[in-house]
Amino acid sequence: MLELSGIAAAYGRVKVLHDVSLSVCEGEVVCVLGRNGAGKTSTMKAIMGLLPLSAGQITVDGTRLDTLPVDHVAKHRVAYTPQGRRLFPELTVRENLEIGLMARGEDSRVLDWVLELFPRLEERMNQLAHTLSGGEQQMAAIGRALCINPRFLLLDEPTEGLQPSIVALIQEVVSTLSKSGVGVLLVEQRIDAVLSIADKVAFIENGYSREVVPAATLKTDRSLLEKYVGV
Amino acid sequence: MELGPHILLALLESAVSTAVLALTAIGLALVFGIMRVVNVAHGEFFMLGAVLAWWITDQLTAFSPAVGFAVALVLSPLLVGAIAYASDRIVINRVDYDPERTIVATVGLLYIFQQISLMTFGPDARPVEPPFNTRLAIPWLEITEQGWAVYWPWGLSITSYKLAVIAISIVLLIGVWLVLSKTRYGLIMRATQQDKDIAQAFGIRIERVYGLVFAAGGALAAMGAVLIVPIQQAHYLMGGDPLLLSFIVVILGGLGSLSGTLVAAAIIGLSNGMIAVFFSPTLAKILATLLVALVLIWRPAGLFTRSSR
Repeated sequence: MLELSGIAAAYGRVKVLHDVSLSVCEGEVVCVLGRNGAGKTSTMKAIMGLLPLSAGQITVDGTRLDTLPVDHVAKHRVAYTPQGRRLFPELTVRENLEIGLMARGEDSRVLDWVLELFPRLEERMNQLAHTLSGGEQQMAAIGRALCINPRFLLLDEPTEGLQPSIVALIQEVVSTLSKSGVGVLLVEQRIDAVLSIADKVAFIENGYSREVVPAATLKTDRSLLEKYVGV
Repeated sequence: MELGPHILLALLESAVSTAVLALTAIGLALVFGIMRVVNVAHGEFFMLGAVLAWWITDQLTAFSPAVGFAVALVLSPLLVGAIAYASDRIVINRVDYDPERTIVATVGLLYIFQQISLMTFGPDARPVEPPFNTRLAIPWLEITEQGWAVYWPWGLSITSYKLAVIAISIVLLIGVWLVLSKTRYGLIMRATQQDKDIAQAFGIRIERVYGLVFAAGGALAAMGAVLIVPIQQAHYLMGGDPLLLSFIVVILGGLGSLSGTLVAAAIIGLSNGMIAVFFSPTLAKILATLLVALVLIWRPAGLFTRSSR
């Protein structure tokens, strides 16, 4: 289980996370919702060690991640697809995926699995990442993260700015991953897309975690969405 | 000598300094491109390479000059690479690779290396004997009443060693390109250059990458110095010119762009050499520095980089 207990973090003197606690079990899809600036992306960065904690702890099956150097987090099979994809723009798709494979020394079987999930990438393997369309870039970014063969996958706004067919593909991939035992922590703006694939929804407000509810309850009762997201 | 052969001679002489400049500048471009460190001490790695090459060949005078030079060509860059690696661990890493603080730190390194060299090897310029130095006459074509004819203008020649410097530099530059584009380590370096946070998130130990890149940058400068030291002499103050020219080349080429650095090295090296031969070396430096100022005003990202993506 990936578990955050009372984490706090700041960018310099600006505190962005005050007290965030949540957990993701293997095979579970947890979506983090909140208004802009609530601390969703900062929570993702904190898990990856890219934002140092000032309080609290982050564990994977009891092993603390927050005390490890950033480059050790991937060894614990926690993978990250950041907001805006952040592929290595001057590397080819193949090289971007190789970086993922190298993180844990995974072999070509993992690559085959990734290409099965995103067949389009096979046609784009030798193309520079910055020349891909937005949807292809997102496939490559998720594919790169999957190349570490993760147990927990962090997806920060994976459908941002994408056409409906690609959004549907990403939803399908997330569902497939959760069925195969991968825990997914998802930050997403498209509420309806979230509710169809998430098991739980965690609300964050001003750097504090608030309520965690089953996604199914939000389909009938939208009061929490109005309260924390304003929709 | 007529103008044609004179230009060819100037071009060949310039090509030698261009080759060495390209090696030195590529080292600086690697360090800036990957680490975002403006290494003001880069010229001192060049100087250390030259001085160590003199010291190594001086220890091996019992053997032929070729043996001494071959040992220096391998050992001097390795030693300078080790010194650069230690500098990274002891100094650059300790200031967290912060761009402003690393400038001050490398200025400090510049003076430390200069003074150590002065105290250890003294203030004299030291010659290194070239491993081979056959003078090769170069033919030229002239039009006669019978048509084109080959003749050998007096003074149109180059030494075999200078040709070897050009050839070895090209081989080394191809080697750098192969390492960067075809090896696993080159891939890691390019990924680190493009996004160090995401590289770390994928398990890349960027501090180790930085240490090795700084060592490689120093070793490349030293390699250039070992190649040039049989033509120029080794001296503790010789790092200034290669530093200035390398910065000019790296800024023109686009900070961090290796292909741009090579093209800029060719432009600056050849034009610098030609202007130095036909006018004066000082004028060559004035014009190169002026060009950099204009590039910084009109195209600050460099001549050979995409201005936007």
